[in-house]
Amino acid sequence: MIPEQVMQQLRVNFSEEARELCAKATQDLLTLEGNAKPEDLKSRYQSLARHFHTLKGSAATVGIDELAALGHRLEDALAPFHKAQVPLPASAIDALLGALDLFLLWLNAKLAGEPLPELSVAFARVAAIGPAQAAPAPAPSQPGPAPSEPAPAPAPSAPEAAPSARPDDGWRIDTRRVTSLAGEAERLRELHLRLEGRQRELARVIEALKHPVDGVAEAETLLVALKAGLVSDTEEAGNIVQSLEADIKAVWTLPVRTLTDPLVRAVRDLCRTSGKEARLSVVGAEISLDRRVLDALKGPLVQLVRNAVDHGFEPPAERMARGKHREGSLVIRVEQQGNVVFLSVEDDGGGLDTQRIRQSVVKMGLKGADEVARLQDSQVHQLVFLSGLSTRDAVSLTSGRGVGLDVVARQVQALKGTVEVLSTERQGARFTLTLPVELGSSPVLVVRVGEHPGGIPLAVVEAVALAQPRQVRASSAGMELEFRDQVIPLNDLSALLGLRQPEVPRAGTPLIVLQSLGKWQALAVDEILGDQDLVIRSMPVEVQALRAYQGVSTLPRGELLPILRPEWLVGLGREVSRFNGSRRVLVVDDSLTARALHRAILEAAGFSVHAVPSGAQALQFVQRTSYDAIVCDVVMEGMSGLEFTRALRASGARVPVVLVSTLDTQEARSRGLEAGANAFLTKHACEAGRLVAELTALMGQQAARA
Amino acid sequence: MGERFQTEHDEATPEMRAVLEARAERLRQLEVTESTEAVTWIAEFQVGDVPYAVELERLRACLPLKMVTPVPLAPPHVIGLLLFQGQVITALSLATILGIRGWREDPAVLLVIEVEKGRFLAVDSEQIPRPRTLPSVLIDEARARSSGALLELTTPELRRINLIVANQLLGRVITGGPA
Repeated sequence: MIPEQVMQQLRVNFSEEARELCAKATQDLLTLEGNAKPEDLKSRYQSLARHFHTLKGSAATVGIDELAALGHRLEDALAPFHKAQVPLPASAIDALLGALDLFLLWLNAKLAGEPLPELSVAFARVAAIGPAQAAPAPAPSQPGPAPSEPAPAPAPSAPEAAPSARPDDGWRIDTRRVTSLAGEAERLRELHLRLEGRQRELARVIEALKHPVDGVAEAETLLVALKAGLVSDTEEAGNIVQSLEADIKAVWTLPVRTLTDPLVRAVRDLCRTSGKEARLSVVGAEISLDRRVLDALKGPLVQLVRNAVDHGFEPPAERMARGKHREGSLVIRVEQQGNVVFLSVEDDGGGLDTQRIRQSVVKMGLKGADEVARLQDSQVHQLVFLSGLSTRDAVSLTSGRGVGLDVVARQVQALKGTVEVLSTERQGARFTLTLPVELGSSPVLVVRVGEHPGGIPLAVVEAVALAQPRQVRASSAGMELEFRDQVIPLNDLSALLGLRQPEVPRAGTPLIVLQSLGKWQALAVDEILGDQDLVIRSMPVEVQALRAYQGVSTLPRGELLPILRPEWLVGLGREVSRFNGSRRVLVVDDSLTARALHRAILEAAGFSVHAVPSGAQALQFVQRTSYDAIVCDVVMEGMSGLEFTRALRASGARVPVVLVSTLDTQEARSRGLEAGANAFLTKHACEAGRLVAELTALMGQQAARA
Repeated sequence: MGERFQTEHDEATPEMRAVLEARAERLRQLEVTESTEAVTWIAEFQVGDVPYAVELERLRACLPLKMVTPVPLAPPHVIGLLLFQGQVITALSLATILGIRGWREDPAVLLVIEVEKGRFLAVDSEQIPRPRTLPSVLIDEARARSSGALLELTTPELRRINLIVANQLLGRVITGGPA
């Protein structure tokens, strides 16, 4: 007699097993529904029969006779179809799926001590499954009469009925992973002991050096051995880190398919309810994501799928009248770039009804009529995420309550992600979720633009090349690059980052060719520094709104490396450059904080600003870009402000120069003006109004002389 | 240590000794008096001509400016990022946030301030702050008068000083900078 406590634990284990078996059985059933190829039928039936048999047997083992009996009925219902090797009709599928859902609901209620649902419904529906007969042939792809009424409502689809993981359910982890982790802990312990030994060796070196006559030779010998040992230890530490990363990632993550597979059934059931036809396919289901992120995405994805079926797809007859296939296509795409995951749900339905959204937003008082009238269509589409918006006049089973997409938006934002929609009338809509994920390292290409290093996720880098003049086309509209039989946009990354005006790349300039979200882009950089495996962390909250950056990494010597966001690099969400023509100022100061202060003053007053840390760099900038004024520090390392001003004037440049200094003496002022500056201000006097007034006056004088 | 060095005190006259004893007695009395009044330690520094301070318990480190990594396209009040105790934190231009009124020296020191438990920001400063005490009652009275990011205080020496409320400063930074 097994003690009740042990039995209870066995039942908990069984619930996990049952969940997996039901999920697999669901997959088999969906495959067997009408369209299975004859050669697949045998293996599918065998697999399904095994799952039903295991459910029956395991339920009996843990003493749950009611579920053992249900499992037995499932086996009996399946047997004639298995024997006849014919596809399962939809009504049989509905009944079997419903029975599986009730199986899990009953089991979880039993374990939680909650009231038990009625199993008799499931028994009755399974018993009503008729004798084996051929399923109707797939509908021909020609216009045909629409169904006069929707099919009988199937059992609730799996993502609803299947119990969601409760917080204390825990995770199932492969014991091999746990063994591997234990092994790595052991290796770390050994490494720690070795490093302690190295410390003692170092102490011997220090001791030896106290004896100048004999000690140096001994110290040298010890140090050589110590170095060799540390090299080996470093390599070992690196191996352990890699191994740990892989194991922890395997424990923390699950393939996306665990999230998307149940949605196949959800789409099926929704179509049965609504009389529509659609097929779900998934691209990138093998990508692994943090389990917690997958759990959090379940709700949003289900809502988006429901939305696509209920709002997106047209009835089959209408689709065929529009020249589309009667069956709608719903595609979920998952793509990971560095520490960002893109998850899109795309349908080929009718797209968003822009006019209806405008009307509904105004009717429900969410925005004023004038405001809505001024919005472009793409902006109107983003309003679907407003709370309370519904374009459905009648509340349907699946939507129409105005509580759907706003919940999606909130749940995604809670994950620090974003969601946006792209829609084309009569062609379809695509919802894209962008989510940060922080797990493990990813390869990053490190580049230099000006004095700034930056990182680009290697996953989006298609090629690296050196510019050849014959491949580069420049016009007033911008630059392009001939690349592998196509012409793609070319940009100067320094200019995109607001560091200087765009320059046409000279021969030999390093170029990086990217592809992200289907868009191509070539970027000219100053230097490619190599590639490294780096952990990409989120930017601090104060700068997270900067669309140009995906995150930040730490380089081996402790320096920080901002990581650029691929979709920003290819032009998505990128704002037009601020350096757009009027009142352009060059700030020259070797102090980072002083440059920040000058920028703050000048940009607040509407000036466009470039800032450089040295006079030499400023001279290069002035040669390539026309500025309306220059603000320059006097005391700088290398070329001083006075030297810069003299060199500037010697080159013939007449641009106004305001020298700024901490020195407040008549002598300093005179020297500045003698060097060719137009004005001299102390930093102490550099209040916002004073500097701006000085520059405005000088620019006015310059304009009057022109 | 080697030989004992001769000092003036070794040769003090009785009169001088009496004066020194009297001074010492006065200082002892002063310590007794001060210890009965609650004080708060602050770190005081100048931004341009204006004195500011933060509570010393919030000041976690003074670091050199060279530790900052600039971030192109960041708004002007963001100087860059730096690594502090394993965290990537933001370095801000304090003058830009408070309103620029000129400066005497280019800020070259970073003050790392704990704005909330475990959450840090760095702000630039023209000099390393000077620690001192203020009667806690002054700070409490200033808090009762105002709930903003800056508390205006008058020190016992009748100097005006602005005490930065660290967690309020964070709110101002997120809304975008200058006052």
